[in-house]
Order: sequence, then structure tokens, then C-alpha cells
Amino acid sequence: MQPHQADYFTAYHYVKLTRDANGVLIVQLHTNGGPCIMTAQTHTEFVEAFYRISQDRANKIVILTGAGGDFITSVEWSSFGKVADPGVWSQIHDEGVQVLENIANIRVPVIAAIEGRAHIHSDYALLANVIVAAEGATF
Amino acid sequence: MPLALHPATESLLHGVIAPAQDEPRPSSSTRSRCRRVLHRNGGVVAEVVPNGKALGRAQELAELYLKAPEVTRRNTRVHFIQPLKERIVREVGYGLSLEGSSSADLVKSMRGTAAERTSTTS
Repeated sequence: MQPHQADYFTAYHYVKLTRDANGVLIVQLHTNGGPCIMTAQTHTEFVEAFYRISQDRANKIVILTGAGGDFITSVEWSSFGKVADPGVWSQIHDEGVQVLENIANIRVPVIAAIEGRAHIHSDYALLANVIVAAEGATF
Repeated sequence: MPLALHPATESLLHGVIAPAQDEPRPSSSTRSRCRRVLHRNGGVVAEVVPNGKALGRAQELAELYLKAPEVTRRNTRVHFIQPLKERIVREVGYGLSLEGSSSADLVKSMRGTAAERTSTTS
């Protein structure tokens, strides 16, 4: 394991974390290595990933990006179950608040690098200090 | 003593037009023009680059920001995110509550439509 590798780097299925020797952390949201599709699982995972990222002072700059030429393309609604159920929505509600609070609590500069479709949760990118978008990016 | 910002800090503060490495640094008039444009547009996208180049450009910017002292970098982020943090705390829970009840209503209306469809076809 490289010295600048933290324990949480390998903890996520949908967040690929790589950090160079200068402390520039690349946060890549993905689904099986390709474009990220929001599911109940990613919704839960992103909360913790951003929490850990925000706590880790070895992260000097955070770059938020997608994979496979897109940021987040769509939502797999069926993964959330019955959204009309109060218990189900309660979890979506709590995670929805926490993920934004956790990104906002990243206390180092955040740069968003957006390619392709940022059709879902472009709000994550909006919490960056600077957004760099490719010509083909759509929001 | 006149206050002058380190170029990397300046570009971080304004979120704009740090020149690509092979480009000359824009003149101050270009910079202020860009800032005005960004301000008018809400400053959502700071830079547009060719397809496939967004991450590379982000890494160039990161390298530039790393030239600023660490506490300055951290505090710059802390300062500029503060107004958004306040609004997140005040408004996101409310927004999600509206979204939740709207989702429930959508599910209910879809169920109604499905029932209608069944009753008309049977």
C-alpha cells in the first residue's frame, strides 16, 4: 500500500478514490467503472465517503468527477423500493441532507470536473469552488 | 502595505480563468471581464474545455492552488462555502419534505391511472 493511501479509499463500491503525493484527491463517482447511476446504494455510500474525505487532513485539494464520459446520468428508482413509504423516504431525506452537509464540510478547495451528462445530482458539483466542464457537458 | 493576492489564491477566490499552462496569463482587463460574465451568469461553470479534458484541467488548477499556503487554501474554502452551508441547513430538509410528499402523490396517481386503465380494458 502506498503511504498516501488511507483506509477508507477501498471501502466503497461506487466511489473510486485516488490521491497523489501532493494530496490532490480525485473522487470518481461510478457504476461498475462506467457512468454513475444513482441508486439507493450510491445514495447511502456517498454520505459516508464525503464524510471521511472531509475529515482527512491529508486531502489538500479535492477533485470531484464522474466516469466513462459522464457525471451522473440517471436514477434507478426501483432500487429505492416504495418511496411513498414514510420509512423509506425518511432514509432518503436524512441521507439527502447529510450528503450535502458533508460535501459542504470539505474544508479544502473542491474542483468539479464535469464531462457528459450531469443530469442527476448536479448539486454535488455546485458545491465545488470551481467547475470545469467539457464542451459536451449537459446539466 | 498594499494587499496583493498570490495569483493562485486570486484565481481560487474568483474561481476563474487561471490560464492553461501554454497560454499567456490574461490581462487584468480580461480577468475583470470574465468575472463580470461569471457574475452575471451566476458563476456556475468557470471554464469550458474540449471533451475529455475536464479532469486534466482540474488537475492543472489543483497544481496552481497548491502554490498558496495551506491554511489560506483551507480558509478560502471555508469562507466561500459558508453562505451555502447556512442555506443547506435551513432549506434542504424542507425541500426534501416537499419532494417526499410529491413522490408519494406521484406513486398514488400512477396507481390510480393503472386502476383506470384496468377498469377500461376489462
